[in-house]
Amino acid sequence: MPPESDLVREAGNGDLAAMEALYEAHRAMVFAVGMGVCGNGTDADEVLQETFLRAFRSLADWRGAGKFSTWLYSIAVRTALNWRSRFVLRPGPRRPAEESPAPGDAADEAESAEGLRRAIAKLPYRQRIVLTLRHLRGLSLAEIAELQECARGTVKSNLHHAMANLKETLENERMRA
Amino acid sequence: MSDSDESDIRRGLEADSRATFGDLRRRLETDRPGACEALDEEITALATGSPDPEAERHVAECARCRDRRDARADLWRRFAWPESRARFLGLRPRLFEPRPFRLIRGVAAALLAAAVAGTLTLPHPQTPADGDALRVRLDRMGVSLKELAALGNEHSIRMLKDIGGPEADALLLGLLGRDPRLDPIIARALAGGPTESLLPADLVRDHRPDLLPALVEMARPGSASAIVAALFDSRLAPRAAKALTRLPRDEVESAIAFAGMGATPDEAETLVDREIALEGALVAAGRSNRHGDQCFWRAVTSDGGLDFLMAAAGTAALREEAFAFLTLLPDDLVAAGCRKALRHPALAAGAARVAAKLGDRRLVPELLRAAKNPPPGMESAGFEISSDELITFRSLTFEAVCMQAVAELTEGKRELR
Repeated sequence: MPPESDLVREAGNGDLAAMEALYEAHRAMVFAVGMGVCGNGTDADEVLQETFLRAFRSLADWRGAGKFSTWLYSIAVRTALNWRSRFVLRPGPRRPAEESPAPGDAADEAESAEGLRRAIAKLPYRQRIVLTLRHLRGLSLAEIAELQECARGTVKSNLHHAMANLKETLENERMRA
Repeated sequence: MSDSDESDIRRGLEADSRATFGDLRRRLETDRPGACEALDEEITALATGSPDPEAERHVAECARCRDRRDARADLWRRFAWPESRARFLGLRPRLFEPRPFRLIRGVAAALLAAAVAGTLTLPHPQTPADGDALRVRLDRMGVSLKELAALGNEHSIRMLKDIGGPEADALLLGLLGRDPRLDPIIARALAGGPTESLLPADLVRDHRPDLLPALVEMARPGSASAIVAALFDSRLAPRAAKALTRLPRDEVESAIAFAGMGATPDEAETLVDREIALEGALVAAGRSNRHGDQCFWRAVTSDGGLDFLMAAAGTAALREEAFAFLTLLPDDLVAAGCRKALRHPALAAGAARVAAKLGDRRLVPELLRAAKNPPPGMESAGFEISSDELITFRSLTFEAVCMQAVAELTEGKRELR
């Protein structure tokens, strides 16, 4: 496997194999960002494709300052926020979400998963992104900090607040039920 | 019991302590109020799979935090995410599609191009009515005269000429000197015919005195002589005086001196009030008795006239007259004026002489200080004329003038009155 800098350069020259290698290396991270911001897999997939499309089209103009993953992350966040404001938050007929509760699950389990999804959706998007990058992508706190170009303590704090907010929301829902 | 038996028993009892100070400190920190809260974020990190030795040690000893960690870990395990279905193959065809045309950007670009093209291809009206119509048309298109002038090409110059009026003419005047190829066109437009005046100041002086306010606002180097003329106009004088401070000092000084030489008595009088025009006022005051009278009377009756009197006291020609008019003012006012003027390079020499005449010994410290540290920019302190057998001129240093004044004051020989 050639080093990432070579892949980036070749992808900038239009090499499809290099583009595919970069896509496979970073798709999970971009999908996690999409999930964090949009909250569902369908939109996260759209964000994933749109992000790579923008990134590959802009590769020739990228000055190469910093890491590719950090640059890609910033594109992913912007793309996801843009997508969310255009399609997810816009009132209108909802597209069918593909992550409906699995058939055969117990009703309370489905209810619990739905409640958890609603609680996650209520988190600020920065906390959601940290949550998905850590849980879904399995990135360490230090790796997330590098992507977001912030201190590790900031990531840790965001993760902690995300968990605390989730717990509080779920407990409130349980009390209401 | 033998000694060896006792040591065996002690060894068996593990009499040596294994406790360390580190253990004790951890216990102390654990028992301290708020210790659990301080590690809250670390416990979350631990519960979500990030190793944290400090948090691990703490939860080993704190049951409450152990419960917290377990509750968060339970919540963490409940997260479930859908799998991504996107594949690179789905992206591949899109990579080589032509970029989508941005409708809004396209429309904006087309509008801008149309506005510019429209601006440049409008027919040239020849009558004032057409000029007004053109102005209205530009307003409707949202193009201001400043934006039109900013184009800075021949077409925009012709349009400004056709529109006419003070604003358009002032903008045309401002365009002079930017492009030598366009200057004759602008000058012709402003002068209304062929002209050799291609500098803004010349053009205003020779053809368009009505544009003097615009010239004052521009305050371009090279226009001092024209702006000085505005000092004689009571409406423009404050702005002109301010504009002159932005121009090169040498240019302003020579323009003011020249203006003083040609000033009428009434004009000379107006120069007295302006600090920047003092040199011109002095020149004008020396032209004739009438000039001098008007200047000195203005000086004793106006608020800013004391500076003129101090400056006049620094010149050999006007000194005695200045002393005479200073007697008309209260001593305290003159003394305060002396203190202030001793720090001004153009007034200090005269102020030292006035101080000596005034006979106020309280001015001695100021005089000594000024002699030691003359105002920045101070050169000679003028001439002393003696006419015993032969008329002689002697150049004096400021220090000498100050020390002479100090000597006179301390001996108490001379007084203003």
